[in-house]
Amino acid sequence: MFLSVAQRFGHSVIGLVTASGELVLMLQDIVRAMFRYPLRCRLLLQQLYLIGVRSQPVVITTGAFTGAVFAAQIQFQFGPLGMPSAGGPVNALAMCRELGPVLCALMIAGRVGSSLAAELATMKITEQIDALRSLAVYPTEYLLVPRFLAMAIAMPILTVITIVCGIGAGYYVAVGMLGVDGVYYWDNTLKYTMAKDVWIGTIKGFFFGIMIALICCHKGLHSGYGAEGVGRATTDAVVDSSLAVLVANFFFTFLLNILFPN
Amino acid sequence: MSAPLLDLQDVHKRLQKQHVLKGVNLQIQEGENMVIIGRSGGGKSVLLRHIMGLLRPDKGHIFFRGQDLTLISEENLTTVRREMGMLFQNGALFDSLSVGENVAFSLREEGKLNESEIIKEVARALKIVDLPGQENKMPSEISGGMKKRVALARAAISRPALMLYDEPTAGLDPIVSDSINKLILRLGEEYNMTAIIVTHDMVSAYEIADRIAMLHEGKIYCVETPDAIQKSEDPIVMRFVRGISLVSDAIF
Repeated sequence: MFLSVAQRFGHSVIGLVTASGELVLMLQDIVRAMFRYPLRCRLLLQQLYLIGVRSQPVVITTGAFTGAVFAAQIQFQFGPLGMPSAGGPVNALAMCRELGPVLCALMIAGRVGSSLAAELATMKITEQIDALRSLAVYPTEYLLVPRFLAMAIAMPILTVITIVCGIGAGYYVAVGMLGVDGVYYWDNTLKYTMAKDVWIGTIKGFFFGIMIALICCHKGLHSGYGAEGVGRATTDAVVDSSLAVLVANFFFTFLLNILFPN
Repeated sequence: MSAPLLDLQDVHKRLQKQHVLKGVNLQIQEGENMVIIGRSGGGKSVLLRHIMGLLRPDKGHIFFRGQDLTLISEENLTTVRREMGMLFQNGALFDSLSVGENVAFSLREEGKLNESEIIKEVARALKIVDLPGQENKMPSEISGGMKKRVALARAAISRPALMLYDEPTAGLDPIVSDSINKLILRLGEEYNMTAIIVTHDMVSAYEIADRIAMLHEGKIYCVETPDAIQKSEDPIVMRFVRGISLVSDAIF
């Protein structure tokens, strides 16, 4: 019993270390291909449209409703204490530093990460990746570089959209619905929210984008065969990239706090 | 005899603990059509993938024009692959691209022709495979036989020196199969392409082959002319080409 649990734990640890090593090698391969081959602008624009433009409704809704509900809860707690306008900076800081980047990344992992993994896994099992290789094209350069770059470019922008929508919706709920004084609310928001708070959110968004792209492309390219293999690769891609975002966020918070001290 | 275009020396491969190739030795001369026959799951497609460099042998060497493919990195293999073309069993068309874009793929990658020349070449290639005017269709809109012909046009449009065909006639009706056989022969004659064809279809094998190699239990069992294979008295060859099963084969 104990041996079996120990074996399973050992297998999980070895699996995690192996996957991490493969992700690092994949990142190295992508970065090398970025400099070695001319950029495929058409494919990059296509991916930017699919990842960036088409994700906007999702992140706008996520940001707006998170900001709105957070602002409402703050007012329910702060209002009776007589400091309703303090809700502005609290909401803004939370959206910039944590909620904006993390929730945006989780939504993108679900919407984009799943489709990245499913697309690459389907291409693998239908021999399209082998066909690409047989037509003298290096798959990293053709498939991975545009997806990786598009995620790295789109995620910071989507994070900023989430933050802006969260702050805007929070303002609307606090001022428009719960009757907080708009001038004080906004003045406090601007007073206590610094440029570095927005930078922290944007930097986190950038790294989350890279992580999601790497994990989902890796899962897609290493999928098993058949419909089950594609399904499992897609599920694993979303679960693993979401967990990686949540865990990495903890470390980024401390790291960025050192880089941008109060 | 001149140096072979392709020389496989003692190629071994294990896949998921199964020893699929157990020391394959095979030489293919420039301009010849070599058909590889053998039982299902015997490693014929695996062998083809080794020649294209899609798989690496555990042991042994594969020389193409004297260059050892097993020593070249994946990235550098792309240069060698420009001289090869491969028709996959299910076509493996890119489903996000139209038929025309699929066929034009390698020409656009090479970048030697301008767009109007590429459009003309694609139209010509599609006409050769008897699919004129189908450029704008998507792979999901065409039948299995049409997919195979589009894939053939895509693989052959850049006129590679070596064409690899993985079961080109599997699952097709006899008329489409015959048209594909004729296309393979025509490509060989017109462009002096060397062809390696993996098939179970003995009718096709006799029609296309200059020589037939039989892969049996992970090794090349014999290499003969179609005529010699047809008349062979060897029990293993005879059983395969005549499709005779033993009682032990029918146990399930």
